[in-house]
Amino acid sequence: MSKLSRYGLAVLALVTIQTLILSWMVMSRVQILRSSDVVTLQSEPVDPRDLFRGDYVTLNYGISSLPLTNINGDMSWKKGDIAYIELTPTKNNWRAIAAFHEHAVPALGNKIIRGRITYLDTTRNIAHLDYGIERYFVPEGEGRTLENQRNERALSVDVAIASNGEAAIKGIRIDGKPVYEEPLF
Amino acid sequence: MWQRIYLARLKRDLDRWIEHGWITPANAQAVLNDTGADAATTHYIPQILAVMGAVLVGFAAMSFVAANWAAIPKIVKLTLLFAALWTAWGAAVFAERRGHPAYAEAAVIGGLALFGANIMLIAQIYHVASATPTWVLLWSLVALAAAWSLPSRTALAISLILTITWSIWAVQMDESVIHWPFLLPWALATWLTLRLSWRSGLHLALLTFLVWIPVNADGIMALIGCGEGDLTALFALAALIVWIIGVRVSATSLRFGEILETYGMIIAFGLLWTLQLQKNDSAASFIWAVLALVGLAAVAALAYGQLASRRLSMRDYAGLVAAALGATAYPILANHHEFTLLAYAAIFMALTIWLVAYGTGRNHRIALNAGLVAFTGECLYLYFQTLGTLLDTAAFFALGGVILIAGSIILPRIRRRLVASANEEGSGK
Repeated sequence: MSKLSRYGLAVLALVTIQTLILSWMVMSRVQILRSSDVVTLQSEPVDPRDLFRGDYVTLNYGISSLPLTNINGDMSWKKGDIAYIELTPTKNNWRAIAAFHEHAVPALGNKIIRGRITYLDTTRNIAHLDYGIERYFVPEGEGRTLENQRNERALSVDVAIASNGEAAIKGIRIDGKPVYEEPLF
Repeated sequence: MWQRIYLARLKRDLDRWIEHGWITPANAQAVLNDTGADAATTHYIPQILAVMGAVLVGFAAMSFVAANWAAIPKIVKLTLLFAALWTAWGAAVFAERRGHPAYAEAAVIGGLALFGANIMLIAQIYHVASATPTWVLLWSLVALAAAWSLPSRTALAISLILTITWSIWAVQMDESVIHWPFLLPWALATWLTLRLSWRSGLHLALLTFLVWIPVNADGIMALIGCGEGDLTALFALAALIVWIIGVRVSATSLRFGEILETYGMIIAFGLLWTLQLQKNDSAASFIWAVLALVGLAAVAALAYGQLASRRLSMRDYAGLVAAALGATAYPILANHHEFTLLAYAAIFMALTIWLVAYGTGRNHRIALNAGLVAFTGECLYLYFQTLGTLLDTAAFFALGGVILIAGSIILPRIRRRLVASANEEGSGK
């Protein structure tokens, strides 16, 4: 086998590996978006910019900061822990009622969303969580529009949840009406 | 750049040697041919331009997709991303087949850059906020696989940079743990630098490891149960071990041995000096004591091995062991008593003078300069440390000065006598 063909084969293998990794990344998101489990969360966005990924709106939810004494479930949390949060529907949105270390079976009508504790305020016993749905990327310059909606507290987010609790943004609502809908592809 | 500087100097020297009649013009040309003088000046220019171009194309791709042009459906964006990736790697094969390794290398960089960009941009397309460090690890491993299989030095450099980026990110997410997983891809990459005989790569590997240590210092201190000074002492011992290993490796692979030797000595002396600045407010644990003793024994044993095989002189052996003893003892003794501080300063100054002698004896210019810099640094440190008690400072410097001047007079005389007696013995035989 010549050196040239070895080079070609090596590149072929590398391209295949990269394609598989990227395809897996896409399909894992598509799988979540296909889920019928969808919750709507109230949000307050701001408008920063990611150096490599353009404009996005930072989304902060009611479930991003949880007073641990006010909810049920497991105690003794630390920074970096994975937390499974049980959500229950309210009139317009969903709110957290319990936090678990392991994926639990929710009460009828409730959903489980998976997050990671990024900071633990031990004095007030408040856990700050990241669910992987804190950024909504928008076309360049359009973040300001959503920020204005934030000021009017009119923005909410539809979140699809996979069976393992992983979440993905499915759409954006303003005053309850969908304005951005995420297609699978 | 260094190659060009070296060649310019070599050409000047060769002209002079021809004028003196020491070498013939034919010999001079043969020397220049051996160094690749003609190729060296032009060989790298297209490669550098191609690599820079590939980097720019990579950034262009990222910025283009980052604009998040809403008019194009997701499927088209994804197709573009995959097509760009395949095109870059296809270009690498094409360039290699056409006999343009520099352009193939540039295409490899483009391919790797696009792979990383695609990860970020797919995350953007699907609004993934918390792109975890795992993705950087995957990017790094793909670069490492490219470096090994093609092989590609640039891919190896990319892999090392990504590996340390991954590690820093992981530690930032949880500062209480030591990010041990870093060591596996790092070790593989370092092994590959040696396999590819890539000196700059080895520099990069060592530098990334040097970044990893302070990033994980909190976790390491918690694991061992020691303070900053104790940890500094352990790393000083480790650096001394690397130094001695460098001396050993120099016997078989001069280039790589010198790199290890240089890093070892600079880090060891840097840490030995730093010891004076650090608070040692925590009692060293049993684990620390065991590690320190093992380190001390390793320095003594490895240095003795080099002494026995005549790669180190008795003076250098004593210097290395003294440095190891100083590093181990200082954190234990130094509760910031004035005497310990001054005694350590005196030992450190003696070690800097030994380092100068080490550099002179082994014709190691960096060691010589490092010794002089360390000596100057220590003088300045002591001056500022004892500012306000100038009489003490003056007394310390005066005593040190007298000892050095006396040494400069006495030592050459001793050396001349020893050389003379050795010559007499030689002629007597």
